Amino acid sequence: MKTDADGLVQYYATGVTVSGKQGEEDYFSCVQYHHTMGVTGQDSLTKETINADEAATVYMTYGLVRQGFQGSLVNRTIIRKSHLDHVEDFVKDLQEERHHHQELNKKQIYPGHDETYARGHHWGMHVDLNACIGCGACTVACMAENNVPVVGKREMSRHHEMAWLRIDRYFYGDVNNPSAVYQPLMCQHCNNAPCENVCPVNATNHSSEGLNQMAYNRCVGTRYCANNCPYKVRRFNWLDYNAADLWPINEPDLGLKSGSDDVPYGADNLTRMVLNPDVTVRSRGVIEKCSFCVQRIQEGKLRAKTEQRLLRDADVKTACQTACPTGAITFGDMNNEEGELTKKLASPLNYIVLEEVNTRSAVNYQARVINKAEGVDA
Amino acid sequence: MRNSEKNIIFGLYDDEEDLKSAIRTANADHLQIMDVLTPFPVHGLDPLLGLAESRLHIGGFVYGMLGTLTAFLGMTWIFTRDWPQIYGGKPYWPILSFVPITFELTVLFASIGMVVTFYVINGQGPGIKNPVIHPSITDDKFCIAFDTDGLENTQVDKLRHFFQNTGASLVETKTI
Repeated sequence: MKTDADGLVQYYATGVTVSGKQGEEDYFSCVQYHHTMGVTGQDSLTKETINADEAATVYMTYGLVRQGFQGSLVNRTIIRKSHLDHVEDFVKDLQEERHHHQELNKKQIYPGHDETYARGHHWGMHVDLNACIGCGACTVACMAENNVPVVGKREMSRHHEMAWLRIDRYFYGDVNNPSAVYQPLMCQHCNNAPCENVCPVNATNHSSEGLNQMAYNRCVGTRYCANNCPYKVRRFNWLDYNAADLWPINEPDLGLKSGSDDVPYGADNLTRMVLNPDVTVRSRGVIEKCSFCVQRIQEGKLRAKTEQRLLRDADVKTACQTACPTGAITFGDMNNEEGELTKKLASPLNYIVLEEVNTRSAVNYQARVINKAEGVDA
Repeated sequence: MRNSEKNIIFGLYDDEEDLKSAIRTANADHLQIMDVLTPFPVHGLDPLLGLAESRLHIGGFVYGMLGTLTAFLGMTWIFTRDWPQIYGGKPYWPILSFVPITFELTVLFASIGMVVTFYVINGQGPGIKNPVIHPSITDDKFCIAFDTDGLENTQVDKLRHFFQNTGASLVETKTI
């Protein structure tokens, strides 16, 4: 670690060169377009406007590298952004649009469970797109907290990434010097969750506190839910990434000895110490997704109960919330009038992703407001 | 379900029109036909033999309604009393979602119930052997059979004449 004259660590280096790998070719997995929504781009070869996600699915297979697509903000984008100069008009338009969607959404067959959610807790989240810098700390924290497997390059290139929380990025402005909006997208815990309706084995349902729950033991891996999720946040265990099938309780007669070469990675006791004991390890053929850190919710509720007081905001913080360096993510009880989340939900800049499809999601995004003078870079 | 052996006399016909005219003759002569066997369903045979319309479809309706009630009441009990859960914002008693399963169980109960009823009523089923009166019946011949138990020889001769007069290609007696 390089230090300066005062002994402080310097996180930069000068005069570095590339050695060893010169002249070699290697493949990289470009996953930026995986699951992004409403992004169109120009095909670098045919010059046609195409669906970037679809193209990424087709072309970005392992071993066949095509040039990436520069997505841009389109009519059906899920990003809302405005310049500070005309933010008032923007808020008016946004409110009008949301009002329109909500009026349409009132025309549903079933009355919904608003009364159920009005009692007790109703968990929700607020993500401030102004604060998000796209660093990815939330994704890392989520993977560490929830035992999300790290699948590696080959799996990533096959669309097998397992991250419960992904960060989409959308470009706008000059194509040679674009500006970006980052959007962390996790399970929206929709009140009208499309995924729950299609599960043939009742592996996913809704809690009375508004959580979209998964019962991993029930899941048989039909992946109907992932197919039906408008946000594409459900993840399927294509392989036994955690070596869960080699746990002694599942396979008592394997006779594997810890530390020997016979034991696959992730199957020996030492490696398993990285796992969070509060969270179930999923095996092959099971869908998983963001749980709003339900283990932390339970812990917070139990702590409040043993101390015989009401639950406070500080009792429950999701992993992504604690990791976010800019405080872009706020989690809490939407029924808590004094909570921090309720204050943030009052912002007129808030919007819900794909509100028009009436999923009634529990995650609110605060629209990006930029304040950049004309002609200024970055 | 044959309990005892039975003596019969039967005749084979080459054509179903011959068969039908023979049955008309038998009815006119007040001969008691035991059974008529054909290689395929012959239209107009039931009224000639005086058979009433099958009540199997009534059974099918009853079984179907049983399936409907089983599905609807079962799901109602499960979703409202036994284990209420929230799926996709639907109420605890989402009647519209019950439609496919109710339909399926209706069809299942009706079909299986009718098959079982048919077998029971006709004494059919696995392990039960039914005599084949003549192999040609399973091919292209039409058969009329009379029960000859308790009949005098003159009466059997009368039946034999009946077959010859109505154009039977083969007349035989048999114990089944």
